[in-house]
Amino acid sequence: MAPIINAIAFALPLALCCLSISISFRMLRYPDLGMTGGFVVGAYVYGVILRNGLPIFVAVLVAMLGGAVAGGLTGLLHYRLKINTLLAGIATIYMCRSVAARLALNLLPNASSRSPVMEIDGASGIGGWLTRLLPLSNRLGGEGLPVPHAAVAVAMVTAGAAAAAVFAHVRMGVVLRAFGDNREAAVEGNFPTVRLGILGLALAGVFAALGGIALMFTNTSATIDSGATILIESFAAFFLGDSLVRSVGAFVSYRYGFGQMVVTALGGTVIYQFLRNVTQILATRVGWLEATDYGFVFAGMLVLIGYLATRDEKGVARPVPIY
Amino acid sequence: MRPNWKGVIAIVVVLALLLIAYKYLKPSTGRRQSGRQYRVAIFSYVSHPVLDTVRVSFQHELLGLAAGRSASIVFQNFNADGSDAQIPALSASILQGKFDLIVPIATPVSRQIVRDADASVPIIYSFVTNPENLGPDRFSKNVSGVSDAVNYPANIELVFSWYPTTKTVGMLYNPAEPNSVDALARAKQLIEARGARVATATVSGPSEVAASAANLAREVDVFYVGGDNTVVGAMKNLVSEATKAHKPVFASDSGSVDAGALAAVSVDYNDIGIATARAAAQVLLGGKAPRSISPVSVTGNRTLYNPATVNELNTKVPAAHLEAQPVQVRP
Repeated sequence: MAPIINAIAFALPLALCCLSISISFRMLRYPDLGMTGGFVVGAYVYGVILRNGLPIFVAVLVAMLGGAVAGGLTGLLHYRLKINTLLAGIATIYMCRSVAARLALNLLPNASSRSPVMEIDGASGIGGWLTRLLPLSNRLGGEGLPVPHAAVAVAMVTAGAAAAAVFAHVRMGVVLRAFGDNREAAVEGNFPTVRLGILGLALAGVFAALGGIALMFTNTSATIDSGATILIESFAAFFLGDSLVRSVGAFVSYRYGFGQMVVTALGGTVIYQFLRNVTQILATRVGWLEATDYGFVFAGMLVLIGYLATRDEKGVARPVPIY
Repeated sequence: MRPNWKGVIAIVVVLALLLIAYKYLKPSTGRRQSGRQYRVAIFSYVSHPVLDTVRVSFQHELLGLAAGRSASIVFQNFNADGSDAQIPALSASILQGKFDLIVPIATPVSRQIVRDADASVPIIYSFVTNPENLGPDRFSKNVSGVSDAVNYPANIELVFSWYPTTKTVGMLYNPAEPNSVDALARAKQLIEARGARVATATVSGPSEVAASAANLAREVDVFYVGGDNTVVGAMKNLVSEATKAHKPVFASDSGSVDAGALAAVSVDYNDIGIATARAAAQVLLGGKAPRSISPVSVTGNRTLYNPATVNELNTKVPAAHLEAQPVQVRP
């Protein structure tokens, strides 16, 4: 069970980024590279505020606001200034990296050296609470497994998925989906398209920032490059989850429903983490394989599961949406 | 939409097979020897020329030391592939593996494993430039290790003795690397104390090194590279652009001189791996607890130069550094 518990326990950063992708990529049909920026800003704002001794809820709220600003910036660049989608995201990434480095260089108290790395004390913040729960978990039979982390990860992703699903079905969310589904019609129908686009990406940025916060309490440190691999990993997890949604369609076919959000974010991330870690560990146990050779097996597994998940009951491929 | 039960079951079967393989596939032990066998987990942050040199020299040295004591070592190499999100899960897996020794290489993975381990788990960290970055946990855990210390005063002295009229020193650095930012601050202080200035350019990955070097080459007299893993990993690109502008590159490690930098007062990354192996041998073969072993700092003090680059730049080794050794340039 250990690989499964580990996969769930440390799924939170990726799962929250998957929810961000659900909003930007699925609802808005927008390939948002700028999510990386929101992720880094979230991690750094959370860290700076905690290091300055302010309460955790202030750190979380301001970090979410930072993520919203980062997402909104991408939206502003694209929807207002008509800059290409990918270019707008890349500009946001670089801006957020610089903002994050400045936060670390200028706002950290008692910094021993001027370093752009954000580090927090492992005993502080949400991560500190979880670590203090580990002995209790062991007494209950956890055997050193991060069971409290896993329980909190499931609870938080579920709460995030519920929030995203509720948003998708309130009036604003429905308008946003309509805008994403048919932008031309929205323009002709005099929808406030610029504001809608910025709002949608700001909301996606909030989830990305929450992913950054989650990284801070699983790792206790982040660098301005921490978002670079997150983008690829969260897209991989998102598409795994999305494929699963199509497989188990009967339960989660309600578009943008709670079940669909949970399966996409949590299911995709847990399978991704499980495959990645188990294939890597298996590779280390075979003497003639290098550590990096696990990529062959991992990629094979991604392809196999992607293949299986996109077949219908007769084994015929279902249509795969571009967005 | 109707569910595809066959597909769902097939996915569950695939995952279950992996889980079974995880449980029952034991590590390959190679040729069995008569003495005791030890299991060592090596946890690397990323595959990179510098980190790989440390890892390979560590493994090679420890195998030799173990063979001399009729013991054998089984290594399991874990690699976070530079992904911060993967570090905690790998750290948990390694700790659950109950290894005889854990050797994290580089700061991000060392910090995580030191934080997550309980006080009995033996850990020898390697290639951690500043052990303070491992946090206060290192004092309460069973931890020791090897850090690398670039000899900045000697390196800057080498630059100015080779090119005494230097007015501007160019430095490329990756602001995401704490050791790189630290290197910039230290070198800048020493360079400015000699009345010269530092011109900088940032890079966020190896692919940006050539373009940044080409831009910076116009305004600098020499380049200097401190402990920046990104730039060291793309040293050939930096040297190529600098040489086009007839500007020398000074470095801080032997690998960079090997790759074409003019000279360095070098930290030899092989030495870091060897020092790590010796500390590991004290734990595994000598029965010592890591917390009873003093941390080691490997400082660069060997002056090396690249004879091909000396010829290309039409310069010669200054009289003050006649003890410098040429590197063996590979064809």
